[in-house]
Amino acid sequence: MEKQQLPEKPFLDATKSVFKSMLDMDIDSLPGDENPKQEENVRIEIAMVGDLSGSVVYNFPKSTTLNIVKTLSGMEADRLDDFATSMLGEMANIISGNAATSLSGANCKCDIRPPQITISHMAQSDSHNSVDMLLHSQVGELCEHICLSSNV
Amino acid sequence: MMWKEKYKIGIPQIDKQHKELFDRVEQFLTALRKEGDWQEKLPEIKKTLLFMQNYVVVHFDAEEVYQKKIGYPDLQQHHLIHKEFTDYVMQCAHDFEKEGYPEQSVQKFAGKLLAWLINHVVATDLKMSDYVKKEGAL
Repeated sequence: MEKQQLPEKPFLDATKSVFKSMLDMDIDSLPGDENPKQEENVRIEIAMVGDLSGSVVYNFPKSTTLNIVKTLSGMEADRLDDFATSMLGEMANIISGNAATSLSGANCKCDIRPPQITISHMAQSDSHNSVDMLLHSQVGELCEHICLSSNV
Repeated sequence: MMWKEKYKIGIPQIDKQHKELFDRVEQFLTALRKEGDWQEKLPEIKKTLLFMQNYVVVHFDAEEVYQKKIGYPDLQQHHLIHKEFTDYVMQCAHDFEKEGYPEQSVQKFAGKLLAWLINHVVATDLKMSDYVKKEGAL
């Protein structure tokens, strides 16, 4: 599948929907020439299998992560610990699951695998064949890299 | 406070139970997240975890009884979602007991629990509320 055909819309729509329902916040796309924040990131990779295969990587900068944790838990958060990274892992899981459901509705059957969570200093994608989305909301930026290819 | 008015789905008896569930999750997280030595915090963490996990079962059961009463068409699917999550919570509680409540595992469990629960209420349970409003089944 060519880069321009990659299905970023279901992921963008799912991200907007989950941010709206869970955080009561809107999300905007930032221009493609903007660079992601260079700070510690929670990197969550979710593999997909089925009619599309590959992975979707979510990079949540530390500041965004801590703002989300504070908003959802109502508690102060000042470090990227297991509680915070696991919470973001579940959010990425929910977003990916919703996107997979949307793709299934368009007759593209995919399953998602459990999130793989790491702390990274790089927000850029390490793939040349990914669609990168830099997004912004009240809690800060996040970056999604969609690297999927068609098997049908 | 963890509970927010925006989590209300408009079915008074379900909203009341959701608030109770969030209050119990908050007690668990407060015990878990406060500063201090892990071993010293552990008795309170165990107590609030048990208090919370018992109510997960009570609430899910009550919600399914309500869904049956109103003829909710997605009852079976909703039940499977509840069952999968209840099994996850019970399995984690069992593993914690067996492994001596390792801090890293309990913190991970708590982060996932909170995100899952909020999404379940504001997305999945809201569909039930939409059905009630549409059918006038309240």
